[in-house]
Amino acid sequence: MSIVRRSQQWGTFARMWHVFDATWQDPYQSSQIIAKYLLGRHKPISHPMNRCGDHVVVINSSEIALRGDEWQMRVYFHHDTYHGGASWTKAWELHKKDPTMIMKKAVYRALGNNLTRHQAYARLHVFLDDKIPLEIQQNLSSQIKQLRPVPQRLDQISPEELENFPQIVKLPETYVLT
Amino acid sequence: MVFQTVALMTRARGPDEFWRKRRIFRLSSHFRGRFRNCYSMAIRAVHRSLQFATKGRDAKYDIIRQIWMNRIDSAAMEHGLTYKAVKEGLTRSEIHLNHKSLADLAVWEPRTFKSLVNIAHERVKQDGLRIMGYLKAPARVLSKGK
Amino acid sequence: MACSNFSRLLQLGARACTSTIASNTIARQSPLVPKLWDLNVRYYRKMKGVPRHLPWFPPKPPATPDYQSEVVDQSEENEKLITEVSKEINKQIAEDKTGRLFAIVHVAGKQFKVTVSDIIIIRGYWPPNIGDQIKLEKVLLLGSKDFTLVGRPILNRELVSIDATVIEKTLSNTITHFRFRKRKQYRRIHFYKYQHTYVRINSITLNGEVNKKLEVEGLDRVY
Repeated sequence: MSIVRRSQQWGTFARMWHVFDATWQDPYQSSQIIAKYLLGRHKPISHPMNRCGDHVVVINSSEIALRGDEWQMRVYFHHDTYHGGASWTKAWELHKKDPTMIMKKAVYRALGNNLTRHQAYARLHVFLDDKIPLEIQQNLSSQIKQLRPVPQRLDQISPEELENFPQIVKLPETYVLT
Repeated sequence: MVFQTVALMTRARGPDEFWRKRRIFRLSSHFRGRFRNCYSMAIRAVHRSLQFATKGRDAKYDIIRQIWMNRIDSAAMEHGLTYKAVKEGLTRSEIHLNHKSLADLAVWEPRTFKSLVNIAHERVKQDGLRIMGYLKAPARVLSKGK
Repeated sequence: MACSNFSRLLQLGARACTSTIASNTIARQSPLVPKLWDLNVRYYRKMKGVPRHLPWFPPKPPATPDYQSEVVDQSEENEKLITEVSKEINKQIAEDKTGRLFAIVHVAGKQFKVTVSDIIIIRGYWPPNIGDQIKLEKVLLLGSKDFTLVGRPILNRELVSIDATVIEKTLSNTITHFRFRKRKQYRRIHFYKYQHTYVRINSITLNGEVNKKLEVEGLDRVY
């Protein structure tokens, strides 16, 4: 194999590093897309026997948004194999303990139950905020599109802009908004 | 077996026992443990494996077809279109390339595949379909006769 | 008497208690904003008429073309562009700079991507015999280094010619078809082979010029 062909081979099968911002994203819907990148299903050369999966770095996993009442209703089960060792943890409790756990579990589930799961899962890196180590930051070369746009919160808008915003009704000063 | 009398000949059923088993053992030669050499176990394992082979021959094409569809989808997504939109756009413009050849083009001839995606995108946009994808339409696609 | 009085007193007390509870709870709740733990919230996604998209997000692209806007006539420009492109292609063909051509041909119900000196295997019954020189006429697509000709659905058979030779006719490996039902005395075994025809692609050539209108067509085949 000539040097040109060999470098072409390296270029084709080189692992890329993608970043995914989990702010205001549903972990169970975005994990479908992340799993696609981890298994290499986003490449035209993809094949079940072909190891072409990429690395995905998920940032801001503490800012995820679950749908409806899933914070209360979604329950994570664990059994420590002893008698009476079953435990059920609600999503909000788990998120309080470890803000990366829900994202990790969602992706682990989306990867499917087969032998490629563990290798693909090892390529997932979840961080609770946007502070990531420099050696990982230097690898990043692509960004995965978010599923839905992130709306601007009221406390993120500057007070000057709020004051200048046109109002339909002029509220009396004694009126208290709660 | 030597058939010395007519009575013995009528009793004989099938070929010789040794060669009959030999045929089964040939098929079970790569099996594990006693399934390889013990006839009563080997015959069961061979029957199972032949059934799997018969079913798997049809199931193989479903898997291959899924791989083709996935390859077309991922290559189309690089240009901002989905598999569904590409297929719809090409069919509407009477380009009857099947899954296999589209997947081949996606892997080995990416520039040709890009031009096909552009044609499909233009057609889908022209017909005002909602499956267009999220990217802007290509700069210009013209079509001419032959 | 004493008993009835006592029961009346109890009722009064109970009514007073309920009224205070009701006034406290109902006054705090707003009818428009249900609490998160209300069971109804779980079924909001399935309900009809509940907007899925928030109003400040950009709307989806229109489903129908915009008939109101003015359409600019670009036919002259397009014509000019087409002549330029086809001129460039014809120049490459004339100077033999197209490089190695590939094509997608439709043979015996299947499509093959072929280049020169490829061998394709056609499965099943197919009449041509060994040594037959054949011309593959259903060409769906022809590609080169710099351009691709796409047929709708096939290219003109005078423009592209793909010559091939049948080099071998054999049978495939033996395929065992085995059906078995346990405990039902049902067992069927069949053996079969497919016919395989090996076809060598000798040449892929572009004849004449692309986008040239001929006066007479189809003279190569008069029966």
